[in-house]
Amino acid sequence: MKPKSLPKLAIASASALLFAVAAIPSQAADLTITVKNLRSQNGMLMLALFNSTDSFLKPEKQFGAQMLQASQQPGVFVFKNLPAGRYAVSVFQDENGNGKMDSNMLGIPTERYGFSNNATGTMGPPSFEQAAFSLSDSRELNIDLR
Amino acid sequence: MQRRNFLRLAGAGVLTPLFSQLALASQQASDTWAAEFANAQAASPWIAAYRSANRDLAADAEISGRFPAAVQGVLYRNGPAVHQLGDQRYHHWFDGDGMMQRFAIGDNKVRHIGKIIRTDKYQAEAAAGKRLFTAFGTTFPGALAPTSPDSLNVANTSVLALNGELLALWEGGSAYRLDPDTLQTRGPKVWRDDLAAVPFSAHPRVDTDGTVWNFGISMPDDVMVLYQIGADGNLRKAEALKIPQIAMVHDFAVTDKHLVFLLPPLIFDRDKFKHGSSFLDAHIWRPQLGMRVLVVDKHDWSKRQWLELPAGFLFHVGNAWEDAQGVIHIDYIHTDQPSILFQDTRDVMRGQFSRSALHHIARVSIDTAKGKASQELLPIDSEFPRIDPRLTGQRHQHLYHATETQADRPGFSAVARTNIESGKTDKYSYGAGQIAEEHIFVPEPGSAAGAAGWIVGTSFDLQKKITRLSCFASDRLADGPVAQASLPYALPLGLHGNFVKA
Repeated sequence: MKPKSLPKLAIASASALLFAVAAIPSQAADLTITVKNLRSQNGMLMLALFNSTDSFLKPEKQFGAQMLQASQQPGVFVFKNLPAGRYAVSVFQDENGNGKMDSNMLGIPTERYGFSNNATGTMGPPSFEQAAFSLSDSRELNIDLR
Repeated sequence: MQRRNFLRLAGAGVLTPLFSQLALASQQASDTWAAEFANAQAASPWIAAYRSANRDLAADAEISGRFPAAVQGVLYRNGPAVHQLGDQRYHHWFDGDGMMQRFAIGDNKVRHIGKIIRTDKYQAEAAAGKRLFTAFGTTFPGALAPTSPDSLNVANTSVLALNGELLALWEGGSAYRLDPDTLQTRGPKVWRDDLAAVPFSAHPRVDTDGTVWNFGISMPDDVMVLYQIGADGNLRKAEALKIPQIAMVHDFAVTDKHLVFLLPPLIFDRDKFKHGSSFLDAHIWRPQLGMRVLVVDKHDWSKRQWLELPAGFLFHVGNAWEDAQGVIHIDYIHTDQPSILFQDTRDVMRGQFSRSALHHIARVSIDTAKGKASQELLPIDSEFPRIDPRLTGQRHQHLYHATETQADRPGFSAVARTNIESGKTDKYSYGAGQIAEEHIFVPEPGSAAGAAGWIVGTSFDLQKKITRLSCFASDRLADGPVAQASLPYALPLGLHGNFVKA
């Protein structure tokens, strides 16, 4: 990256932030998610937030996403000023930092993951409803990776 | 981009695969097994062999006789040990968390240590002070959904020493790495990144050149994974084969040219699993499938041949070899059906005895040119068959095995050498008050493959409630042990072991 592109990026981010702030509806709440039971201090915690059945676990439709160093434990994610509504969270520990959740040749995840409500699915991930929670006032959630 | 990858995987249903079914498999209303077992102790001395061992052990043994120089080294043995945690007693002998036993033999002294294998599952449950996951044959209310086969991994079946590393083996998941001296658990063995938590069975076969062959089966996926590992401990090759109606397979054999599998018609029913059966109880017996025989070219796994034998069940294979005409000879321990797995090895856990099947040696001929397999049964009680390891894949005459059953208790009371060509058996009986466990052949250094050597193995003294290690001359079993080492305590009845020369 050329040095002179840095300010541009900064400006872009700043205006995106301004836009986001301007877009908050009147009832907004903060969501704090504490992620525990990591296997190690390696890599990153990758967390995604969804707000509907239709968008759940669809990368192009996620409502928000954050990542944190796994060396900071527990991992505490904060989403500020979220509109009231129903949400679900998925998170995994990208332990080897290869940018994806690894699975073995049988398709079984080999990195730890979790969902809000500590939901577990049947024959696959949980449904949005299993993982969903209501947000009207600020609240805190705990997820234990499995 | 990173998140996208994760979500794509998740959306594709890769997360929490079939094993999450086990979460539903917990409809047990009340559980009286621990109480039943405790109540049975007074009446039946054999019960002591199935007690839960929840602590590590260490002691010097009391020696009688003299251990020959050939057996200076370490006998490792593995087996289920933690049968109960909190109030929850497991419902199957094979469920217990593994304990590795290490008998160090040297200078006519035997030092024993036994350590519970600290699998991820054991550590989580020990920290919680109670069972968290369903096991192979046990379900209970409120169990967590396992996230992979290793969520159930108790590493309790066998042991392989490989290039300075000790592997505690199970059937349904990873091998566990242990320190060969201290038995400290180092963690799951990952042969290759995409093989993490992929089943690695408990009976790898070690070729005479040191190459280790093994397989692993994922019942829900109808997949058999084959492994070829060098004597240096490095993976040479691994591949997943799709096998329709894959069966529960515990053991196999290798010849010079082939890997040989016997598939008893015990197959997996996804619907039963979905509706709450334990992993074991999701298996169904389909005798109409016969015993399928799969012969795989060692060096080209795409070259495979299927043959058929009459329906029957087995855990253990002795050995296999090929004659000049290309006919494969293989022997195994045969029962008519799998009731031992569903009844006998379950009943013992609540202090009940049943012997629902006869275990006899089967000799099989597999004529790959004609596509025909046939077998004959030798009516000799047997289990835990072993051979001179130098004859793996070569013609062998002798099987060393446990034998002699008692009318009122499980297990065997004698160790035998059977000549499978003549059917002649030589044995040593420990007596009705003792349970003979697996015994292992240890060669006399410098002798030819197949020549007489030594037999080492353990027995459980039901009166004194101690475990003994005995050593015999392999060709003079009836003379009794040349040396014995008596521990000051009993070890829970174990499964398989291996000897490592000093």
